[in-house]
Amino acid sequence: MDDIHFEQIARVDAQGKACGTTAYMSDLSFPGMLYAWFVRSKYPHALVKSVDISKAMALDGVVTVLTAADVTGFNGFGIVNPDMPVICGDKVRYMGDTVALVAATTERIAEQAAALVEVEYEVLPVVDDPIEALKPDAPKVHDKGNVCLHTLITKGDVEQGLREADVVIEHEYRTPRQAHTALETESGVAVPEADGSLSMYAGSQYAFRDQLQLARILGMNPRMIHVYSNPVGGGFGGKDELTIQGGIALLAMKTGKPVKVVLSREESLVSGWKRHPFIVRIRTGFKNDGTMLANDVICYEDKGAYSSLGGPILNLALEHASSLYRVPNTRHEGWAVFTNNGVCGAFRGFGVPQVLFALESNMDEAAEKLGLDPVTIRRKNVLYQGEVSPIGHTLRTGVSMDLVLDAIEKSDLWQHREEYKKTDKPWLRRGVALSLAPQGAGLGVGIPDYGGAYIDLDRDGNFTLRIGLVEYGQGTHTGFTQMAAGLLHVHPSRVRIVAGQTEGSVDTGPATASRSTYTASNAIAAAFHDFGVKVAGALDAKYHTGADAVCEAKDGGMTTLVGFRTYEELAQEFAQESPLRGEGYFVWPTADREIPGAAGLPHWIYSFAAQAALVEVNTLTGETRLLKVATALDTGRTVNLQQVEGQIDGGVAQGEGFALFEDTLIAKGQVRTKNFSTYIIPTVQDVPEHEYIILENPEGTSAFGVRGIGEVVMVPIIPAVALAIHDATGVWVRQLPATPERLYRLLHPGL
Amino acid sequence: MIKELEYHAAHDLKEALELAEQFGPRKRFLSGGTDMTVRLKEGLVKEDIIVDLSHVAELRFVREESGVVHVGAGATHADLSASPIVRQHGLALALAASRVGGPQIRNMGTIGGNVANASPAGDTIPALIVLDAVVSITSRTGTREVPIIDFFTGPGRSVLAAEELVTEFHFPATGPGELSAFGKLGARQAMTISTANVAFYFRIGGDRRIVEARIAFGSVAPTVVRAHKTEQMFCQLPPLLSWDAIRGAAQMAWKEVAPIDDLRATAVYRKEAVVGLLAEAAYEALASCWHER
Ligand SMILES: Cc1cc2nc3c(=O)[nH]c(=O)nc-3n(C[C@H](O)[C@H](O)[C@H](O)COP(=O)(O)OP(=O)(O)OC[C@H]3O[C@@H](n4cnc5c(N)ncnc54)[C@H](O)[C@@H]3O)c2cc1C
Repeated sequence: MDDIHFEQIARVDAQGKACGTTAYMSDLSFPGMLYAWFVRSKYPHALVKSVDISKAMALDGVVTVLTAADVTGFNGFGIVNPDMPVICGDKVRYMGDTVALVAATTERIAEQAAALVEVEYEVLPVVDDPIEALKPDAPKVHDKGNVCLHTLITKGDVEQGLREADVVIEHEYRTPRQAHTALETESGVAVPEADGSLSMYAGSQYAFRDQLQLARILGMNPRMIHVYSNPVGGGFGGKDELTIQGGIALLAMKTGKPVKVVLSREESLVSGWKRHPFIVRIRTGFKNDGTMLANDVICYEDKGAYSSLGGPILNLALEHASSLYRVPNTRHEGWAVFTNNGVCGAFRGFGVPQVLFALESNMDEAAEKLGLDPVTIRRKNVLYQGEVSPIGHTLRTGVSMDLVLDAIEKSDLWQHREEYKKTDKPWLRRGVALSLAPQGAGLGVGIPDYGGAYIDLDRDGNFTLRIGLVEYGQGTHTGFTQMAAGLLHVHPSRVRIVAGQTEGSVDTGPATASRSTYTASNAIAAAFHDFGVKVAGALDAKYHTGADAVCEAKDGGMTTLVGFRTYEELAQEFAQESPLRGEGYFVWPTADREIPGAAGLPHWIYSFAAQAALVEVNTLTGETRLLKVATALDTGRTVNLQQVEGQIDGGVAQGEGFALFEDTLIAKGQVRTKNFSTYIIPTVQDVPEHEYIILENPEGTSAFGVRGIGEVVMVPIIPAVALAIHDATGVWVRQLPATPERLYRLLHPGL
Repeated sequence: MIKELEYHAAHDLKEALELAEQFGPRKRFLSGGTDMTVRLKEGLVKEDIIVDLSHVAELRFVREESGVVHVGAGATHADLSASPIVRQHGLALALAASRVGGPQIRNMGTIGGNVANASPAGDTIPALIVLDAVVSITSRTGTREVPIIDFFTGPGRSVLAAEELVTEFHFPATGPGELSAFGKLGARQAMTISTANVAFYFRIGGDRRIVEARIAFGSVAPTVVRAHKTEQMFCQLPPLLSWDAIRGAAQMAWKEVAPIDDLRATAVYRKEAVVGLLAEAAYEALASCWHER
């Protein structure tokens, strides 16, 4: 469908968001609404001996206080393994664990009551180092031990490969516990309905999975739970798993009243999901000409207290531990290890930034040792479609490693890097470096990766697109609107979207894994096709045209066997009782077999980006400024250029945060960075100038040729910044973020 | 959770002074509220009465009178950054104010609040010190004048009595041959508390030598500190722009600061960083000054 025109419109949600009229779920209020307070643990690791709620219950205005015994269904949640209690009964494993839930008539009373809940603890030793936690005598976070997942993927003979290598680069790298810092904290309202059902209004990335998890917690038929999760005030992976929903659902069902909670930033930073910090030990062997011979990687993932998506994240990291380079001998091993360091889960990039920081750093170091330039060494090793990946599967879909590398080499920043590096200040040093990344898209093998969409012709001749995928700021709904409008041949203003609700929209899978735009492209195209069939069917029923007569969209209507009909006319004729609906369903293509021992691997479709960074380091203070970034990105096909550039801007800022500023510091289980004066994210003053290079190398399995781009745009920037610091100063940064003091100490080793 | 408070808005200075006397130590002033709201939220305000000064128009001014710059306690950081008078006659203060927080904080936060707060990291404080500012402290019974360097008695503590409020700051207007500047190190470019900061004032003689220097550092001691030995070193500098010489002079700062380890940085790093901050800012200022002449 290359001929479909995408009208380049402004974001469909821009006005409401810019003017503040958009109602997020956390803005909603209901009559008689109560306020919830989560009574959090006092210790990062302890047994709960008793919980006394009598004083809290006695406080005026308190409606109920719940403890573990009050959980009506299964007291646990988790996308993969439901090992996180909604209310802890016998043990707490991090500072954000909930020991009781309060509902009161005001937020103030709820908070006061929370302080009156008396919990008796038996304090246990804190498990705070993933490597220590693997030792046999380490205290156990869970009864079954501290190993959440162990994965080993091998190809060829890595030891032999390393022996044959002319150069082996071996290092340990460490990455930060990045917080999502969505503007809207974890929040929502649970509303009990007259028919005994529950409506959950909470911004999240997958309403249909929330519905099932809530059904399990409440012990209710999922059909009795209605989830409304769109729009979301920022997600980045932090609202993929459940957050507060279980707690407010229990309170609402118990009290029969709507119950609301909006977490404070402090509570969000303590209790919320984070990016898993990784320790990556990596040995990479090269021949003198730069050819990679072997890569031996072992990752220790600090899982935090509960599983959530830690297993799949570890595996995606291992899939990418040798990038998509031609490496004949590999050994990718990973341990996801339980600790009392908060909880970690999904986060844009899903394990890939952590490992590629290590690998790409080794690449540049090898290049330097071998006298090669960073482009040459990478070009020598990039894989092409049809070749075998470092974990042993054949790359069947398009591979654009070479294309993004070529494009970044031709960027203004890379071409003129020597000029950009000039500075007349004796204390400043500038450097430029580049990096590239693939990012597996979709959920992987073995996990049904499904997407549905409905296109409804409404009474008035306009359209409603019903789709599961939420808008959490990516701009996807603008793209979906353009796709539907392009197929229907109408102006985008005639398509509205209903999304992210178990009632009124369809399951299109989670808004994660760079899958929204790609999945939607095929689901919408299928729904459009079905819409044509439905129109033909309706015409046949009335005019006996033959049910399979093809209808073609054109100029705000359709040409049919009985002549051209505008959509208004079709609606007049066929959509007065109920909408005329086209239904589309799509299942992702996946590999035909799984990599042994590695659930979910391999991925079938990848995104590709290369980025170059110009940094300026102040050698007197260790401060680094990211001045300019070039991004070469393969979109497959650009649906909306402004949204693509927006994703690049945001991805670069988030990658910059990872590389230079952001880390949730936890000491002995206690979060030290509880607000934005200590948890540092880049401001508008810190973000760089951009050079965008958009490639359109169509992905053959998408109806429009689109690829996901949401994650990959934040990946290469991370190693690029670290390597640009090396180019500027000569020091290798192996632990991120490169804060001023950390870098200063590298520059002045004696300190 | 912010506790319940009794709130009084003063509409003019007279009313403010009366309320100050009436409530004494039970009250706390509020100007821009940018420090107070954070403290209230953290439960760090023991007083139960708020006297709001933000409507007192008499406190919000910047003017120059016979060679003296007067800045009202209610002048915001945005006022100071944009003021031609401050830019021309006390540049260090304009630069310091322009580095406070972000636009929202600069629109609300006042210089009076910044100083009364007495944080060792307050950005306007080193600037006021090197400009030799005097604080006017007023109560119902009159006004006393305290040199800014004597105003602070410790972190968060000052000579201010319960019935007193800060009304203004005044300092000699800098003129030709005098320069001042400010430098700041934080975790990022904006919205950041100073890990360390520096302000300086130099008077340049006819032979291009520095004949008088005042240097102050913030966030590296319990209060903002003057660095007298370092000032001496700058007065010995040769009259030509030498990076090595400037850096050498700045090195003395090591001996004049007593920082601590905190979440933002370690003490030893802070010591090194203030040297760098001073060297860099001094080099830039001297380069442009000597270039102009
Ligand atoms: C996000 C953020 C960023 C910030 N960034 C910076 C920064 O970069 N640099 C920096 O230095 N500060 C920073 N601050 C702190 C604060 O903004 C400044 O100290 C500001 O100048 C305080 O002024 P205010 O008018 O808001 O004070 P208020 O909060 O109103 O008051 C502060 C204190 O001063 C007292 N007070 C106020 N006026 C008077 C008066 N006239 N007489 C006597 N006592 C008085 C109050 O009783 C109170 O104890 C930041 C704060 C926030 C929230």
